[in-house]
Amino acid sequence: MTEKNLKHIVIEPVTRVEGHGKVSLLLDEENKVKQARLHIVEFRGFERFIQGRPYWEVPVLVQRLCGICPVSHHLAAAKAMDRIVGGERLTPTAEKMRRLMHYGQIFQSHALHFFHLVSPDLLFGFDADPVERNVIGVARKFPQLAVQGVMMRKFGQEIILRTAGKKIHGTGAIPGGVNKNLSPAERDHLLKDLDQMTAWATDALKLCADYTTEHVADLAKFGAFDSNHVSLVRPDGGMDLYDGVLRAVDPKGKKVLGDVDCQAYASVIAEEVRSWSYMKFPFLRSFGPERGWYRVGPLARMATCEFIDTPLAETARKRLVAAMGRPSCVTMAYHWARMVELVHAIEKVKDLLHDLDLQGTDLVVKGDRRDEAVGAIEAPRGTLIHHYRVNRNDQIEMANLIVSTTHNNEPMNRAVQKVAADCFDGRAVTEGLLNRIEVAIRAYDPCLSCATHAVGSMGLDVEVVDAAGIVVASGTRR
Amino acid sequence: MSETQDGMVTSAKKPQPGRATPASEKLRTGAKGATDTVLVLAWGNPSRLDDGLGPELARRLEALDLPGVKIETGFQLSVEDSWLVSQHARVLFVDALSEGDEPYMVAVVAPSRKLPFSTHSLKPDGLLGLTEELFQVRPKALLLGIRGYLFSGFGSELSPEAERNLLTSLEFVRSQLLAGGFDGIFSKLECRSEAGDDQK
Repeated sequence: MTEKNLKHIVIEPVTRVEGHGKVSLLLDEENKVKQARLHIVEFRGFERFIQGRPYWEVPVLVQRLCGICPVSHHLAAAKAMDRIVGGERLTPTAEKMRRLMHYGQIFQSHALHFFHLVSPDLLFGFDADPVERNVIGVARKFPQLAVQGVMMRKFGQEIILRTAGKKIHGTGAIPGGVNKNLSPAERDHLLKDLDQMTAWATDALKLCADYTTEHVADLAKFGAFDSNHVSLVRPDGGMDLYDGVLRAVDPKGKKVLGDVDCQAYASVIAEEVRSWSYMKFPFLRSFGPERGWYRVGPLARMATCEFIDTPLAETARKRLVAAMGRPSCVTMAYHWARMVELVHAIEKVKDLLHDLDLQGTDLVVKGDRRDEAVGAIEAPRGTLIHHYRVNRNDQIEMANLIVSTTHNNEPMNRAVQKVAADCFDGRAVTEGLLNRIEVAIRAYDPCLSCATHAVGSMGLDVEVVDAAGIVVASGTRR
Repeated sequence: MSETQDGMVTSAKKPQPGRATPASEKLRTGAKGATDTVLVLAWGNPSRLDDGLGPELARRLEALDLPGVKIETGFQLSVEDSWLVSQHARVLFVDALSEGDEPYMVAVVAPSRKLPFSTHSLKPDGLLGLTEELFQVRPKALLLGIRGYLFSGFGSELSPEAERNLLTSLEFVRSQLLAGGFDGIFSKLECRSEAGDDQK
């Protein structure tokens, strides 16, 4: 059957994800879903924008890619620029300040996603009216939970403020180090709320773990499919969200990508362009585009790492693995994995705040200048790669950014296809179908803004086009 | 760029109906211990041409070092801003406008329970609604929309027309802050607004 014979259903854009996207479902003549496409309709070319800028501006400039995870871009770019100035062996103070910044970012991002974007689905059910199935609904029925989400996000932003200098557009990380340490007053300010944050994070983890295990019969099938998984890990296999080597495992958990230095990412990962999306499709070169695609993010990190070096998170990881397997290919297990990382992040914050190195004064190192470098980090949504080449005038000559959501491009398409194939009745795009497609995409916490380097807005338009290309139904949700 | 032309904006020059704060004011206008300081909360992307009007106004306002004002900026309004808003009795939201009156428009903002689904597009009325639900306070709030013209592409320079509108807007904000923190504007616009609560 050719593509011309397929019916075309368009859902545009997807709600409660960051940025702007639309979904189309390609149906065969029997009205069964044969393919799903998550279209990315905006393209801004941020990589071109930074060409010609001096390399030391880049860690600040790239934060304007997106207002959701600017710290991740700040740190990935800074890590690349460390190598450009030959300063990749950071001082203990510099590395720990950056790690504190990063764990603050992970904490606030995961808290926001769970409490304000995901919890409505879990607390009210997928079929609840979207008018109520949002954070206002949570605030009304579960006010303490909603306030906790706000205050946890605020706490993470406070960490970013104290380490990066600003809550957004921070300047803390510079090539070869950082430009400030953490004063005792700043440390004490953050320590004040730490126990409360840990308690709330632990509660959120329990809520999510209990929900998943109670509903595992349904969730195990929801948008589930086998995949490879990729993330950075420590060379000893421990989870490390700030630094490490690239590792990939297959659906059976077998390591299919030996631990690879990030500088060589391009030798193991390639990107495919498809005509219907501005977002590329990365894959492992050794497997090719058909079999080499993979998941990144919290669930992938649970698959690739062998242990977590903080006690509460490690206990939680073991429970997740026991219940869902390792690797788990259950899309909805992303939420549970995310909450394991929420707890891990606050445990790391606690360790760092009690580390006297944060009050050190040796902040910057430099060495032999390089012309090309890669910076990689595990951002909240997954592996983030920044690759730059700098000319002799210290200007950026080439930039290539592979953001987390781009890595997850194929998995999101697969999740939508699976859900649509299971739920579409062959006739109408029901509210239930729309809800489930959104829930499946939301599990990946996509930042389409990052992926396309644009800031978008939301709404929901539905268009049904038959095999002849005629619009037979449409709907709008705002 | 955020959409401010969604029916809740009232032009300072050509007043139109807007949503008004209910007459029965059961809620505090600020959290317990809220400061009398006016919160100026501006947002936009400084690398997206005229979308940076809000942050640029904030930057220039900060340089004036006026008393009684706290200035915050962001890419977009976000849920944690609800706590910040709850700590102030009066709030001035500042954003770029892609269409509408020149050089700027001012409107009273009332809380809304109609939330967009994405944190990228949280609007002032939704943020106020969230603030009210979470913290049981309802600050007085105004939206200042500064008219911009160039939003497509990248660049940190404002268009000449937007720059002109920014200067006028800045003078408006400065004079209002020196004259008592927008009290006169609140009174004027609230009188013109239609009575009636939002979809609570």
